[in-house]
Amino acid sequence: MQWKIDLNEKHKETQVIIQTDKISDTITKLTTFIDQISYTIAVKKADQQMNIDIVSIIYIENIERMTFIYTELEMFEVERPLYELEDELEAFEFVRINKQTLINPRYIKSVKALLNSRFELLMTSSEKLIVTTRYRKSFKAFFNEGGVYDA
Amino acid sequence: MRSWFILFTTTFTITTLVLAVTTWFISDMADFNSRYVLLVAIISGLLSLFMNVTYRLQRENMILTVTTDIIIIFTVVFSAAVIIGTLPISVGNVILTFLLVVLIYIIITLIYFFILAKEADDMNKKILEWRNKHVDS
Repeated sequence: MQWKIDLNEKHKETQVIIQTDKISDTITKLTTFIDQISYTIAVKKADQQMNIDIVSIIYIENIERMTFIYTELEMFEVERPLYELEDELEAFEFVRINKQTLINPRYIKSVKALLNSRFELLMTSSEKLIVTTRYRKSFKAFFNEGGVYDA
Repeated sequence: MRSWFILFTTTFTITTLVLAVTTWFISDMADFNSRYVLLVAIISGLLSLFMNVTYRLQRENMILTVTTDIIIIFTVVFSAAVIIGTLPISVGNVILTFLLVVLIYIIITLIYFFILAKEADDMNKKILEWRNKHVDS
């Protein structure tokens, strides 16, 4: 596969054009990756509306009917329920780890198995999150199965 | 029901083996017979039920968990043994049963710790493979 960049100031928006005779696994991987890095989500911070890239999300948490998104340095609010975000972000391989939390598995640093049949995840942001017994099986299956990039 | 049955068969096998070895080592105890099998079956059934219930509770406090486990296991084992008549009530038997329960609990916990460490190790490897394949691609 060859690629080239047309660097020109007149291009105000980045556009990726794939020229191919058929859709192969490599093309699927590529388009999924482009989707992922260009997909944004509407959030709110201090009453200000903005969009953030989903790749920057470490985890999403629901606390008392409020949904919060955590990135490496910031926290945002989303006026949507967690299950709705879960459905939307499933294609980008976000994983539910307990009733309140949805994580981006790319930010998992390490896993520790706890005595009470739970997993403790250490995220790259040094935060610790718990995979409860209910979600343990699907969490393990996620890494066993691979994901969309294995298409 | 399925998880209870798996727990029951596991506990039954482990306790039968432990009891068979104990009767072999302790000369005062009667030979391993059908009464022991009945005792083991009742103990295994009750303990499996207890484990099944506590597994759903998702207990947080480790000290409380261990204390409750030992007290309940000891009560079940000792009561069943007394009811069936394999063990007379005496301070010596209470201490002996309690020590055996603690010892077996420690052994099983250590085995469980080993399994957990292995599981965490496997998970970390899988996550690393996944990251190498997905994040760096």
